[in-house]
Amino acid sequence: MDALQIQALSAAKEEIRCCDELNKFYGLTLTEGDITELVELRGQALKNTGRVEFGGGILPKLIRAFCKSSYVDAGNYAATLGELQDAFYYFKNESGDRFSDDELIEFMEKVFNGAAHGSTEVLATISLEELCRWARNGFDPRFGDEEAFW
Amino acid sequence: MLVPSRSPEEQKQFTRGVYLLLGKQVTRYQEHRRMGESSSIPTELAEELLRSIVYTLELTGFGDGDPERALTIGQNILEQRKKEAESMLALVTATAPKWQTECRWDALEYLGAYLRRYDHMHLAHRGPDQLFYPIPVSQPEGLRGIDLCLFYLKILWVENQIMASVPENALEALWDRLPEGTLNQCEQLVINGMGKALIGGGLDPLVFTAEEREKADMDCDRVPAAAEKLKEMLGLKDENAVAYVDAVVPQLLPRLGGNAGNLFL
Repeated sequence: MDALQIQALSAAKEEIRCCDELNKFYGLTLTEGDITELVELRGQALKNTGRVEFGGGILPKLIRAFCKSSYVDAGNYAATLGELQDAFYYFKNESGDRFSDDELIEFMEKVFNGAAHGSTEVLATISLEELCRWARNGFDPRFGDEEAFW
Repeated sequence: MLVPSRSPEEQKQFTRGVYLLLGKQVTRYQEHRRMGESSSIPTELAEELLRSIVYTLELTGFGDGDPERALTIGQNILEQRKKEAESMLALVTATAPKWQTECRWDALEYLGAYLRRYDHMHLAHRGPDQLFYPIPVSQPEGLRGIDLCLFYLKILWVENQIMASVPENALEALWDRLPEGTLNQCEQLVINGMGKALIGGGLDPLVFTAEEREKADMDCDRVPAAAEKLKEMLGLKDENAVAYVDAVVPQLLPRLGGNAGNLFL
């Protein structure tokens, strides 16, 4: 790993540490080990989705959006963030970059706190189309996949 | 990316500068394309943006060590070249012969569309890669971006000059004989012109009789001299035009001496 990569990783970690106060407010914590793991997972997620990132990553935004969710607690917080991060890059790719980060996070937040009842597994298995539809209209099993949503 | 005459430390510093510049270019590109704010981009796009940066920096000889400043200087150079290409396109379009092959029309239209879309700020290295217009002159190696567009426009301008040197009625008679699907009409003009020079004829008429065709087919040793004579007849002095005629000679040589067939129309 060269100096540039080390610096980028340490900048990414620092941006996550900046969310400490917010996490504490909601009774959540991320240890140094959690932060290191999340940053490593980010690298893997980017690699898997064929993307590159220049700033500190999407984690600070995910933290700000999901820390207030009633479905996260101190026990599952770090793991949930890791899974949300994976799902985020997946949806980003699937959308062909048509949605901004904020739009996509808003969709994910609505579905996670609504139809998915806090399950990252549900988030990870639905398609982008379903994510958009569920976020906009809420999930109703009476409607099949044919429902127009765009 | 290796920058000439830089120490390893300077090289490292420069590479770091380019990486930071890439981050800024990503943001500028997203703003330019009115994409929403996004912290990540597909690897392919990052690679394209990086290629563009390197291409632009190369134009400046990598500047004085500040990639950001060198990029601005390179972008100014590219802006000038884009303007030059736009003027050249206007010239080529205005001086084009009355009749052109479909392929030539398409080439001009494509180059116009390319220039309208050319993004010298972010994707400067992208050239008119989908252009399909065969020319006898070989494309210099490594030509990319707007330079490739300028190269083709200069060739088209040379062709216009060559075609304008021949009387209109002689041209029309030649165009009438072009086989369906001919791509480059000027190349055939040069071939016929060289054939006429071989038999000691002029450029009007430019088309061949059966007797002339047989006569022109006999001697391939005289082709280089015929090329010189044709340049004289066309009044060509511009080095690009001279190079264009010279580039057709190798096509003629293997077919003369009994194999000309319908080489001369």
